[in-house]
Order: sequence, then C-alpha cells, then structure tokens
Amino acid sequence: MKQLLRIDNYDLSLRMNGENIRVISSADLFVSEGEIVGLIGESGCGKSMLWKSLLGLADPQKWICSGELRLMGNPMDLSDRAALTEARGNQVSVILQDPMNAFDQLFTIERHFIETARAHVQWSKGEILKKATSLMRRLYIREPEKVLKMYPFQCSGGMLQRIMIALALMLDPPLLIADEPTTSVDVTVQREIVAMLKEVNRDRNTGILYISHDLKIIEDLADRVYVMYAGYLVESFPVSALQERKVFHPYTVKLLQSRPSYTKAYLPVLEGNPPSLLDRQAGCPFAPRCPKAVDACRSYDMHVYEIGNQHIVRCLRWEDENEPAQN
Amino acid sequence: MKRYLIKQLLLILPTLLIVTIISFAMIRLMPADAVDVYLVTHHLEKNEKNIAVAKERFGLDEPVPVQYLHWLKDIIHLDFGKTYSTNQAVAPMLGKALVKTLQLAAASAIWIVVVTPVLGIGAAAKPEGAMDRLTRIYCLCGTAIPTFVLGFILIRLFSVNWKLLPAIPDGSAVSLILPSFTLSLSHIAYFVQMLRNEMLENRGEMFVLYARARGLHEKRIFWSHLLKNSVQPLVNTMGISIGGLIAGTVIVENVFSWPGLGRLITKAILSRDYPVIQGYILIVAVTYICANTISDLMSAIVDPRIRLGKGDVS
Amino acid sequence: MIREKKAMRPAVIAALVFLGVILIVMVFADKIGIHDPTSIDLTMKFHGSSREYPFGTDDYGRCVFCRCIYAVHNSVEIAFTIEIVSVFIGMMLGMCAAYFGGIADQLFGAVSNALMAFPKVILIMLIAAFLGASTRNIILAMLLVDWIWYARISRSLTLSLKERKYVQAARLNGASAPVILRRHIAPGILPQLAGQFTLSLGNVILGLAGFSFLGIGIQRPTPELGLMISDGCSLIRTNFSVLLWPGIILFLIVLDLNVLGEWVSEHLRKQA
Repeated sequence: MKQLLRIDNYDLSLRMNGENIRVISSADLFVSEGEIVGLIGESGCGKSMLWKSLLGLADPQKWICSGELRLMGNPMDLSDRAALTEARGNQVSVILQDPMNAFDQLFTIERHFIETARAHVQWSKGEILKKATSLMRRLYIREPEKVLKMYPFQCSGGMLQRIMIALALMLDPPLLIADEPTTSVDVTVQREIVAMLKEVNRDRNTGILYISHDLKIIEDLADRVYVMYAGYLVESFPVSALQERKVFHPYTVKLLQSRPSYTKAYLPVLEGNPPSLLDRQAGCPFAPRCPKAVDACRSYDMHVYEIGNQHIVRCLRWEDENEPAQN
Repeated sequence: MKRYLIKQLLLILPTLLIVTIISFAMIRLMPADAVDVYLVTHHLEKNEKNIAVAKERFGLDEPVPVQYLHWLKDIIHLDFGKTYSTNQAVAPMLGKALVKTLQLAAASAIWIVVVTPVLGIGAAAKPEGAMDRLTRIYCLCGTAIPTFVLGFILIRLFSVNWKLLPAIPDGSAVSLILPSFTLSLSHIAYFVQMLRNEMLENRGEMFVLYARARGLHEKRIFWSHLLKNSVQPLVNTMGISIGGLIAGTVIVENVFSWPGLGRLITKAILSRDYPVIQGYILIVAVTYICANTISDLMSAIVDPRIRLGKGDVS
Repeated sequence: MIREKKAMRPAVIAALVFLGVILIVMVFADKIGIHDPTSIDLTMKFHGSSREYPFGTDDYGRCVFCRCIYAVHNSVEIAFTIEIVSVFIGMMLGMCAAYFGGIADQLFGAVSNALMAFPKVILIMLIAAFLGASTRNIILAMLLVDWIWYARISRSLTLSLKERKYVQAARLNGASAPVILRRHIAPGILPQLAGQFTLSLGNVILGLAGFSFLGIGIQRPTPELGLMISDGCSLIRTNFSVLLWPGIILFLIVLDLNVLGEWVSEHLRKQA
C-alpha cells in the first residue's frame, strides 16, 4: 500500500538561550493510504509539534529538525519551505482544535474557501463555491450558501469544526492530519466529527493521522496507534492489540487502566507528570513514574524492540509481566 | 449597519446635554464673579447700579434653571455671548479659529495615516532588522520630545537655517507642513509602536497558523490576515486620539503663532475671558464626541463583529 | 524576546547613570549653580559658552546653565510631590472602592470614567483656567487629574488581593478594615505602582513645562524649563542656544524616565 507520510529517525530540538533542547527524539512513523492512524500522548509530549515541524510550520529560528521525510512516497527536504507550503492544504490538509480561534474572524467563510483554493489551483470563484457547497452539504451543514456568507463568529463551534473539515477536503488531499479536533466541542458534536472522519476515510480512501489524548476516541477510530511520551514514540501497534490488552509499554498499560468506563468502580490515576523539557534526564523518560523501572532503565538508549505484527515498543522490560489491566 | 449607525447617533444626544450642563455650571461656580470681571474690564465703578446692569446683561437676575434654558437657547442659535475683554461676539471668533485648528489637525491626521503604516509594517516585516531598530529608537525619542522643543528646532532648521519652509502662517498650504508635522510626530511614534506590537503578537495567533496550514503564502498572510487584524484595534485608538490632537494644538499653535483655538484659549485663560472658555469647552466636547462616534463607525466598518452586533470584542 | 532584553540593556544602564546625574543635581543644586538664576545683569548679555557660563548667558545676562540646574531642581521636586500625593490619594481611593465595593465603587467608577473621557491636557488647562494661572493652581490641577491611574491600578489589584488567603485570615481574626488595607493590601500594591510612577513622573515634568510655556504654569521669575523656552523663543534667529539647552535637558529627562518606566514595568510583568 502506498505510504502517504513517512518519517524515519526524526529529531526536533528547540533553541533556547544558546542551547538546543531535544523535544522529539528519533521518531519513526508512517501513514498509509486509506488508513487511520492514532497518535496519543499527554499534552506537552510533543505530538502537535511533530506535525507542525514536519509541515514546515515551526519557526526555523527556534526549531531545528532533522531526519527523513517522505510525502506521497517522494523524499522531501525539511528545509524546503516552498515545497512544504505547496504540499499543505493540497496534499496534506490539517484540522485544528479550537476552530473558534483558527478562523480569521474578520473574513467570511467564503473568503477562507477561496483563498485556500487559490493558493494551490486556478479555479474560478464559481467553481470554488460550487465545490464548497457540495462538500458542506455532504458534511450535513444546512443551507451552505447562507453559511458561506457568514463570519466565523456567527457560527457555532461544532459548525466551524465541520466547515474546517470541508475546507480540508476541498482539494481532495490524500492525507488529513487532525490535531485534537474534538477537544473544544461538546460530546454529541464529538461523535458527529468522529463519524464524519470515518465516512471521509471510507468514501475517499483518505489517510488520516488523528492526534488526541483521548484513548477512547482513538480506539474507536484508528487502525493503528502510536503512543508518545516525552518526545519518544514509545509504542506502536495495530488497534486490535488494544482490544486484546496485548500492549507492553508500562505507559500504554497505565493509559489503558486510567481510561474512564461505566463498569469501573475505581479509576486508577497515573501518578505524577511528564518531565518538563528542561529536566529530561538520560535513559527512559518514563522511568521516574514507572512501576517496573530498574536502574538499567536510567541508562537505556531507547532503542526499539520489534515484537511482530507491526508492534514496536521502546522498553527494556517489555517482556516482564505488567500489572494486570483491569476493566 | 444602518441600525448601528442610528444607535450611535442617538447616543450622542444625552452626552451633549451633560456637556452643556457642566459647561454652564462651570461659569456659575467660577471663583471670580462674572460681574466683577465685567466691571473691572470695563473700568466701571462697583456700585449698585452698575452691578444691576451687569447682572441684567448676563441674565443673572433670573432663577438658575431659567438661566440655563436661556443660555441653551443661545447656544443652539450659536450665540456664545460677547468677550469680556474686547466685547466682540464670541461665536464668529471661535468659528474662525476652529477652521484653522481643524486644518492643522487634518494635516496632522494625513501625516499619521501615511507614515504610521510605512514604519509599523516595515518594522514588523523583519523584527530586529535595521528598520525595526531605527523605528524603535524613533518611537522612544518621539514620545519623549516636548512638542514645543521640537517645533522650535524645526523652525530653526527649516526656516532660519535652510529657509525651506515658512514658520509663520501665511495662509498657504506650505505653512501647514511644519506645524502639522510637529503635532503628529509623537502620535505617529505611539501608533507605530502599537501597530508593530499588534503585528508581532498576532503572528503567534491561531488564525495565522491555520492560514499557513492551509498552504497560504507568507506574503499573503502578512498583507491580508495579519495586517487587517492588527490595524483593527488601531482604527479605534486613532479615532479617539483626534481628541489628543486637539489638545496638542494648544502648544503647537502657540509655537507657530497659528491663529487657531489653542491660541485663543490660552489668551482667554490668561485674561479670564469666561465666555470664550465656555465656548471652547463646548467646541472641544462636541469635537471629541464626534471623534469618538467616527472612530466607532470606522471600527464597525473594519470589524464585522461590531457591525453585526457581537459586542464581545476585546 | 530574549534578544530584545539584550538590546535594552545599554539603554537602561545609560538611563540609570543619567538618573544618578539628576539626583546629584537635586541634592547639590546650589553648589553646581554658582550664579543666582534670577539676578539680572544686562552688561553680561549673550555671553558665549565659557568655563564660567557653560551654556552662555541669556538676554538678561543670566547664566543659562545655572537656570537649567535650578529649573530641573524645581521641576523634579514639584513633579515628585505631585506624584507622591497622587499615589497616596489614588491608592486610598482605589483600595477603598475595591475593598468596600457597592456604592463607593460605583461612584469611583463614574468619577474616574468621567475624568478619563476628556483629554488630560485640556482638562488640566480648564481646571487651571477655572482656578486662575499660578504655580499653586497648576499643581492642584495636575493633582486632580493624575491620581486616577493609580486609583484604577490599586482598585484592580485590591480586588484580587482581598480574595487571598492571608487577607481573609486577617479578616477572620477580626482585623479592622484600615488595618487590613494598610498592613496587608497596601504593601502588595505599592511595588506594582512603580512602573506607572516612573512613567508619570516624566509626563508630569513634561506637562509642567508645557503649561509653563503657555504661561498658565509656574510663573516668572522662577527658573523653569518651559518658561525659559518661552522666553527664549524671540531669540530663535539670533541666540538659539538659549532655548535649545533647556529643550535638550527637558527631552533627556523625559526620555530617561520613559526608558526606566518601560524597564520597571517589564520587570513587574515578568514577575507576575
């Protein structure tokens, strides 16, 4: 199957006071055609910076990235900002969280559609608006002609989120990156959005990289999952592993345990916080919070263990028995 | 938009009424009695008869509310009374001076509107670049230099040393250049700083990220999204600062002997010519209210959130 | 932001040094200004710059340098007094409005909004016109307008401070309102006013010079920078230095206080 996005050995550092602080370390990740890939992690683990820096949206004065990037199978130069600008919105579209702030309040919805299309293709205004209305109608937005004339502040959050999806699909991109698109909307809209993304994936064979901190949504939506912790992709596996409870990294196990459920009388809490950027130490970054940590963990070089069936884990002690995951 | 306009215009009326009451009360509360000033300036002896004449002239023998209504009627008919010192009618004097001051303020506004975007955008285009640094030094100095010092330095350089521009008003448009530039310099510094900071701050906003994520080119984002969003708060402040310009004219007019309101009021204050002061208060208040209304309208044109009645704009 | 800080530094150091110079002038004005700033000697008219008269003499034969020194001394002293009193009044009113709330707060809001709705300069001028042109009256007029900012800042700070645990604890312990305001709230507000204080000090000096220039501020023969410029303006063609020097000094003082004010405000913002 064609790989839409692939990164190998990707590093990202932040320049601060003359020092380079590592934010993402040796990340390997790919998204294939027609596949929904979930990327899960706590806030601040670097999951948003990952896609932003990949697409050339990180300020080059502050951020340094290195590694191999392939878009639609073609190798891309990470510093070639013109090529990345061209790819954005055309080959890779983005859906952001908090659409209330993402849209420019001084521009109508129509203008947003027009400028996005004009950045990449030479369509007439009529063509653009025709496409926009049909897309919006497909995403269950009533009276799209009227909505196009509206300003973002006249729309509800859920509606804007749907408009954002329509805007993302405008140029039929093979890949969609959704960065927590459901965090700022209420639960019913959340479900709608997830269902809509599934539909888009099914109908158009669009690959989706879905970034979230909500395991439940990922479990429901994704085909494959990456787990990120403190800048490392600590484990990746097909979603079936989640359902069969065959995950090995203690962090993933903990995430699974602390997932809310109606059948649980008691919800275990993941103690502590992820290390801040400035006090990351050598070895496994999860070691200070890990119940299985041993001294060797603190000097572990975070190399990868491949354990078959597309399952990869970065943990010295993955083979050791985890605490039983309750459900 | 139409509804918004009507609402704004209706809001002016009560404010105007309050201003007239304050203006009227000020004269009534004056420590120096109008009658005394009148008698002194007209070299009249202070006796019963002269006081009665003066009182009648000022209408002081009637109850206060009636006096106010009489006064208000006069004001509406643009009758501001006569000056104490020269016994001339105040209204035509104020009118002539107002025209001159408005000329000066308008010329300054042109300076502001032309120069601010050039410097502000230039500085924001490349933060920490040469242009940005120079602009910052200008902003620092521009807000610190006293208008009268600047005015005299400009007169010395352009009129005395180089003989390029006239320092004293001769009725030509050229004689407007120096005073209007002097008046606008500190305002420009203020606005340039504001525009630059707005643009730099807005750079980190979500809508810029989203525009980039949609593949829009940097230039396009800068000139449309960034600029429009950064200018929007400026429009309102600029409108309000018309009041500040009127205040600034007082000093500039005295430096350049510009025959406007500022010079008139300075003289009036020094000779305690209360009818002139009263007229001045009214004129400034009306200008101020008009400026505020205009700035609100301009904001409404730029910002659809105000126009379409979403009040929660920061 | 990091680079901006570096760029600020030399300017701040220069500003601090200049502040030191101003302070020295404040303390030793009579030692530095050896000539009487008001004594007229027409035989000494328009002397050029010399050791004895660094800035030369004016049309009345008075030493421009000495006049500047005394003028700075006077202006800074007056501005300082106005500011101290403003801080005091502003803090009192702001704290009380916020602490007691209700009608007091509404009244405060109405008054401060009304005063802020009009350009400051014109407001001061009108008050001065109302009271009559004199040194005392211009100080009063500036005071009447100047306290508002301190009051507004104090009010908003008090609103948040009074919800703090230590203030609540003091209140539960039965401390009276004046004690709480003085011992627990005022110390929290005072440092926050430092930035505004420095900036306003510059503005008051500038304003004072402006009003004196117009003739409605400090009255002759007291040496004052604005007055000196006003007196010198007829000499613009012949003896420009007579009005240039006080102008430069005025500019430097205001610039100095602006730079320091920005710096202090930035410092306070970072702390918060």
